[in-house]
Parts: sequence; C-alpha cells; structure tokens
Amino acid sequence: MDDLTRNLCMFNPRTAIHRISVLFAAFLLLFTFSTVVSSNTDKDYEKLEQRLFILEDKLRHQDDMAELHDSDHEHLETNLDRVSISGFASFGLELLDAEDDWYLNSVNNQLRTTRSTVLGVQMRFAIQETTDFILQIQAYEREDNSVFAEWAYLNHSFNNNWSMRVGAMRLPFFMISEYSDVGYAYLWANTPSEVYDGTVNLTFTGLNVGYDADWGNAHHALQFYGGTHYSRDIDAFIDSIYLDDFLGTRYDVSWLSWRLGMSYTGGVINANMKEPAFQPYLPKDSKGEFIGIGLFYEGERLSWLNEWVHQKVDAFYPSEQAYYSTLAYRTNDWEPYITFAQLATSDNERRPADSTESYKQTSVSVGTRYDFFPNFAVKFEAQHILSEHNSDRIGRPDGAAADGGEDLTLYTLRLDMVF
Amino acid sequence: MPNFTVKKVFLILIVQLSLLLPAMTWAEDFIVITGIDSPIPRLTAYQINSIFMDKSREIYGVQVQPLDLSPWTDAKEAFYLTILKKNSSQLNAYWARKLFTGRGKPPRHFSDVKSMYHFMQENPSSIAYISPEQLDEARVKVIYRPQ
Repeated sequence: MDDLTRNLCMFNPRTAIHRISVLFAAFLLLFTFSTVVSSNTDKDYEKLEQRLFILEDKLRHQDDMAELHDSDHEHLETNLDRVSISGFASFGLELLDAEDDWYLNSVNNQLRTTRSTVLGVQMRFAIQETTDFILQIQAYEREDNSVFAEWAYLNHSFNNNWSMRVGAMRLPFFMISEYSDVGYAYLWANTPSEVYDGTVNLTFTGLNVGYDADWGNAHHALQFYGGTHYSRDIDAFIDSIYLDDFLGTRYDVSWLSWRLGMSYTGGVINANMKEPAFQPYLPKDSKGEFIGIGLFYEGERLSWLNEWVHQKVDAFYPSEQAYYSTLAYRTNDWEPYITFAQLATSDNERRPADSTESYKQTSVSVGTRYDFFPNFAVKFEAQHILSEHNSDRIGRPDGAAADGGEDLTLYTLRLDMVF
Repeated sequence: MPNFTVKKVFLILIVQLSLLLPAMTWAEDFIVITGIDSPIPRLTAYQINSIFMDKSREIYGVQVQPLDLSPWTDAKEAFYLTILKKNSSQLNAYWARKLFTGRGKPPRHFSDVKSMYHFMQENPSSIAYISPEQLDEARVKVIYRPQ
C-alpha cells in the first residue's frame, strides 16, 4: 500500500471539511484563472496563429529559397558541365641573316618574337546536345598587343550529316587556313609563307553550312559559306579592305592516310588604299576569287603535303599563284622536313606596265619538329629565300624598293603547346 | 653461290618478319567492346576509326559515344596505331585541328577500366577498347577483334 492509499483510508471529518474547502478554493481559483487565461489565450491564440502563419510563410519562403538555391546550384553545376575550356600557345624566335632587310614586315636581323607568338583560349558552351556556342580569343604579341575574337559562332547539328554555323569564323580558303594560328596542329615552324602569308587569312561574319558523310571507306566534308569581311593594314598599298557578299564552297575527302581538299571563294572587294594614287590598282567593286587545291598524305612515318592556290583580282592589283610541297619523315619524336615553295604574279601580261610590278619568290625550307612532351612541340626551321625578279612582294615593308637583291635566310625556333 | 643466295633470301625474310613482329604483337593487345545491352553489331576497323576520330557519331541509326582510357598502355598504343593509324603526337595534333576549328572533340577519357565499365552500364551504346584480359562478358560484348 502506498502513502496516498494509506492516507485515504485514514478518514477524519475535520480534515475532510478542511480538504473540501481547500479543494473548493482551489477550484474557484482554477476557474477564475482558467477564465482569465482562457480569455487571454483566445487573444494570444489569434496572435499565435498569426505568428504561426508568418512563421509558416517564412518557412515556406525559406524552403522555396532553399529549393531555389539548390536549383541554382544544380543549374550552375549543369552549366559548368556544359562548358569546356581549352587553349593553345606558341612562342617563337625569328632571325633574318640580312643587313637592313625585313621579311613579312616583322622580321629582321635582330631576334624577334612577334611573328609566331600567340595565345588562344577557346570556350565551348553546349546549349543543348546538338547546339553549342564557341568563342575563341587570340592575343598576339604584335605592334599593339592585339586581342581578337577569331571565332564566335553558334553551331547547330541537324543530324549526323548536316550542320550550320552562324557568327564570326575563319574562312576555309586553304588546307590549314582555319587553324593556321594553332602551331601545335601542324608540322612546320612557319606555315609556307608563299601560300599562307602571300594571301589573306580572314575571319568572316556570316553563315557556314556543312555536310559530312562516309561513303565507302572515305569521309567526305562539304561546306557552303558566305558573308562579309573587313580588315585593316593589309600590305604596303592597302589600308583597309572589305570583302562583300562573297560566297564559297569547300570539299574535303579523306581516305586512309590521304586527304584531298578543294575550295572556291568569290566576292566583291572594296579597299581604302594608303595613298590616293594607289586607288586605281583596286577600284571600287573589284571582283576577287580565291581557289585552293591541296593533297596531303600523313602516314605513320612519311608525310607528303602539297598545296596550290590562286588569288585572282580583276584590277591592276596583281593576281598571284603559289604552291608548296613538303616531304617529312617521322622517327620516334623527331620529324624532319623539307619544303619547296613558290609565289608569283599570274597576270603580268594583263596589268599595264606602269602599274604594280611583277614578282616571284622561291624558297627552300629545312626544319624539324620534336614532340618532347605530350601536348608540347619544339620546332626549328631555316627558310632560304631565293631572289628572283623582284622577289620581295612579301619581303620588305611599306613599299620599299624591290630590286631583287640578296638571298635571305630566315631562322625560326618555336615552341607550340595545347592545353 | 647458291648457298649465298639462300642465305641472303633467308636474311631478308628474317628482317621482314622482324619488321612485322610489332604488328603481330599489337594484333593480340586490344579488343573493342560495347555495352552488353547495346544494339551495335560487330564493326569494321574503318567504322571504329570513323567514330573515334569524331567523323561519325551514328552507326546503323544508333548514336554512339567513343570512350578512351587516360593511362598509356600496350592496348592503347596498339589501338591507336592499328585502328586510328596515328601515334599519340599525331593524334594530339589531329585533335588540336578538330578542337580549335570547332569540328570535333576527343573521346571522353576515363582513368581506369572500372569507371569506364560503370559508365558503359549507364550508356550501353558507348564503345571502348580494352586489353583482352580486362574483358568482363557479363557487362560488355566484343564488337571487334584485330585479325
């Protein structure tokens, strides 16, 4: 028996009356208190309800915010997954073994780094599986440390064969026009200058429609492109140039280790000449055409690279034909090569005798590429430029006297990398 | 004199056979696989080349994803030289051309076969090369064996 039971069993009337009165008083007190509390509780309850609503609302808002943050975070992660960044860089040293002479407006008998030093960064953002945006920015160590968006375009693949690009792109004139700034991507220390410096490397704004397909054991790639181009400080005569309403097509077929490419581009050229006296050489709305044919064999050891190009202008401004042939042999990480190249005016009879002079340049280059580390290559090249006629169309700056003169040798040491 | 000629022919044969040896060794060094549930049938060397070089992303109407392994192994070297016809430097230069002209990108890379198998379970229509001893027939099937 516990204490409580024991106490209840010991009944006493005085104690009982006392207990009842105490209980009654307690009941009254409790009633009064509960009434007061009840009235207060009703008010408080309303307040509490309001606070609860506010808290619930805050909580809901916080949940929403948390969801929003989570969604932002996921969105950010998804976006980061969609972005890829890559880049390339080249650092070159050039030296010309001739007194008081220049080559390509940028090299003389002092060690120079300007011709082949470039840094490029490319960002690719996949908007969806079949559509992406690509931006490629290049910084050159040239006169004004220029930075250019060489590529900025939207690419959409309709299916496995058809694709379309809209924006700023490199013109695919010749075999390596599109990647001539990415030194790691090709063999030479310098792209053969008779082809790749004698004509123009252009970025255009417009449209490029591509068709890719495998037929038999060959891969075929067809491009149709069109748009406009503007650039400045072209050569000794031209200050700025507009290439308007041009259209072009390019066809590449690759089979085993062979690659054959052909292109044709035509358009209207409008130029601002450096001197008014030069303007008749390239009058308003002159017609320009660019034709290129290339045949590359790139075997496991042997490479044989050939290209012929024709830049034709229907004016007194000279038309040019140029070609090169390179033979290379790879042994482990070394790839020595020899290149024979020539550039010459092709319309000597058509142009009046007192207009721009005819010229011809021939060069033999010997060099090697050494892949000393994955993604790094070092190259050395000696290009001996043979003087024929007025052979310095691409040699001396700003219309300096072109008297043929001495043969030149250009030495280049270059480090190329991709990352 | 006849003995000398026989010796000479024998020597030439030995030299020619020794030149063939690396190719014979490579022939045993890799196989090409796809997910066990993949609809991709057996492929030719050209078709595999086309997919891995990002010239084609579709085969028999199926979207295909090529996978590569990061570590340099005998299987990788054999696959590159036999199917892609390029060594690592040539291939890097090739991808530099494709990447910086926006005309393709290299295959997705994996640090080991285990993580690659895991990816292939989720994406059965992907294809990859491995060495024959890494084959797990419960998870993948062979679609190309070099002759």
